[in-house]
Amino acid sequence: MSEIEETIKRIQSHKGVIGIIIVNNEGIPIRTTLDNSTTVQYAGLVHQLTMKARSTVRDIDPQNDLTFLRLRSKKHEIMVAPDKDYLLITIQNPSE
Amino acid sequence: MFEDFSSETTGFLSNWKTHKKLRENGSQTSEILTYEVQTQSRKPRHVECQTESMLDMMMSSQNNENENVDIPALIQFLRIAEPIVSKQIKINNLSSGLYRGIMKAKYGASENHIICEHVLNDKSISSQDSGIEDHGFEVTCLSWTSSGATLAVAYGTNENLAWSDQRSYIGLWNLDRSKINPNACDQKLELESCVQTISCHPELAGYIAAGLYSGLVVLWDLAKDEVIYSETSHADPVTCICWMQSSSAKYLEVLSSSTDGDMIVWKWRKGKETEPLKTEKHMKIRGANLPRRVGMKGHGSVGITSCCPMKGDPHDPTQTQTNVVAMGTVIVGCENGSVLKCSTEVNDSNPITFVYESHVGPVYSVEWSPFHRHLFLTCATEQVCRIYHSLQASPLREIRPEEAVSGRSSNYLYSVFWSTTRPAIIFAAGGSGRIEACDLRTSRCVSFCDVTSADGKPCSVNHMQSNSKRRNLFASGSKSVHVWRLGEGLVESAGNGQDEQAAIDGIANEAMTED
Repeated sequence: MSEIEETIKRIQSHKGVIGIIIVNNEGIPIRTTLDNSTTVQYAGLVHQLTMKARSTVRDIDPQNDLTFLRLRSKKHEIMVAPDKDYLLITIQNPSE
Repeated sequence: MFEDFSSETTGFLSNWKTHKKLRENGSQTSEILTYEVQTQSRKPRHVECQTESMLDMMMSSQNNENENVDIPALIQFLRIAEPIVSKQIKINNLSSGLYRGIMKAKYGASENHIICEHVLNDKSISSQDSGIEDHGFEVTCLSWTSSGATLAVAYGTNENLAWSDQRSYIGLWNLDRSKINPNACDQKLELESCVQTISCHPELAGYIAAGLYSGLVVLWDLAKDEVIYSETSHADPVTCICWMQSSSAKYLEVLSSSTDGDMIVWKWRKGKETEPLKTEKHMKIRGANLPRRVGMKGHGSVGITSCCPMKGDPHDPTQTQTNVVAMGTVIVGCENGSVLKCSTEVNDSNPITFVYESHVGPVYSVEWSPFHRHLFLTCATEQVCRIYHSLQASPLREIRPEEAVSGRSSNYLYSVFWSTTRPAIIFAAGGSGRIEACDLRTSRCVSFCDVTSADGKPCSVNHMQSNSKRRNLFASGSKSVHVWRLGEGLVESAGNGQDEQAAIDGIANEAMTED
């Protein structure tokens, strides 16, 4: 229980980290450090994108799998660590 | 021999006339029977159903987290995911400086370039005969919709000399479509006369106003695909059309001007498709109302070629104070080169409130600066752009775009506009087909691009329109529509825009000190 919170706190303590969301395989956020509406938005969109990215990787080579997804934008970098049950979404502002 | 004779009256019985006999009779219809019957439906029953929203699901899963979340699995997952994420965050932080450098280098390469993004030319329209020899339809006017994604294009011809009953079109292109067809527009409206000017509503996406060669003003309601005509028309072709800020949200107001010297404010109640556009106010620019130095004699009217109402920008704190006063102020450019300040608020038939120093030729384009509420820009056929201060008659700056100097008659300037992001940059184009970006501080051209037809010949630019939402785009209309992308250097100024704003303010302040 507390190990989950500790891990989140550890990641949050890195420089430039804006927020962390943990999403289950249905796209429902189960832990977040952001406000509700932002969380719902990120969770829904990133979950869809990750599923799409995963299926792309698998379609190219059925033995392969997605291990990490980085989304670089002008303002942020969104990192997604996918797993069969959960997604860890980390939003970072690298230039901060 | 003869004597009076009186005969005795004699009587006899008529053999056809009989004594009439009358008899009374009666009849009665049966009584109308009514019955009362009542019926009552059975008791209504309400049933409600609500799907769980994402937020609720999240809340519930957070509240009873132990039920829905497999804690050991999550911990296991986080143990694996944490090192990967942490490593990446560190890499990002280390490389942030480097990354910024790359971005800068990338933008620097295309600094001041103006790149043609799309060439749009509806083949079905442009191939039609416009009724004038050797001239197909050309683009007379352009307007971006409020979203900045759709471009409304007016097709017509500027070669009409007398009356024309040539049909023409308004075309719409949506640049956000995944597949743009440059040879056919997404939506097309056929009108019975050449479209001279067009304007999309600056806030409501569904309304497009257009002025026709026949003098009519039309309003196209895109959502309902209805066309609303004006109840009367101008005597001459409509030259300019602008949306006005309506006093009530229920109404739409449009200002149109014409070469017959009339300015008409039209009013239309939203949603009343059966009602025409009603004349709200009718003003006329008369030669007699102009001072003698303008060189206009007689009582005839002065044709209007362009106009631009002052826009009150509610977001700009410097403008809120004078907003109320400035409402209804319109700068009008005339056929004889006059530049006038008019007010639509006056009840008098003479709307002119101030007269500026005249151009030599017709003033084809007028625009207020988006960064200073007193400055406006004009261009005329004498190949000169002028910056005026609204309170001073003489212009503050005169700029000659370099290409125009060569002095060929086809190098008239037809269109100018201000950069929407850089206060000191203006764009000008005309008959030569060269669009130039000029810096007011140096009066020099900083960048240019040439509009050419498919066979490489330069095309005369009739109209240009900046995109207030997508600030790196603008469109120009010649035979076809060109959509241009501005380089980063023309969109974002070096010193955060502060020095340019200061330069503009400096130019404006010259007006105060000169007199």
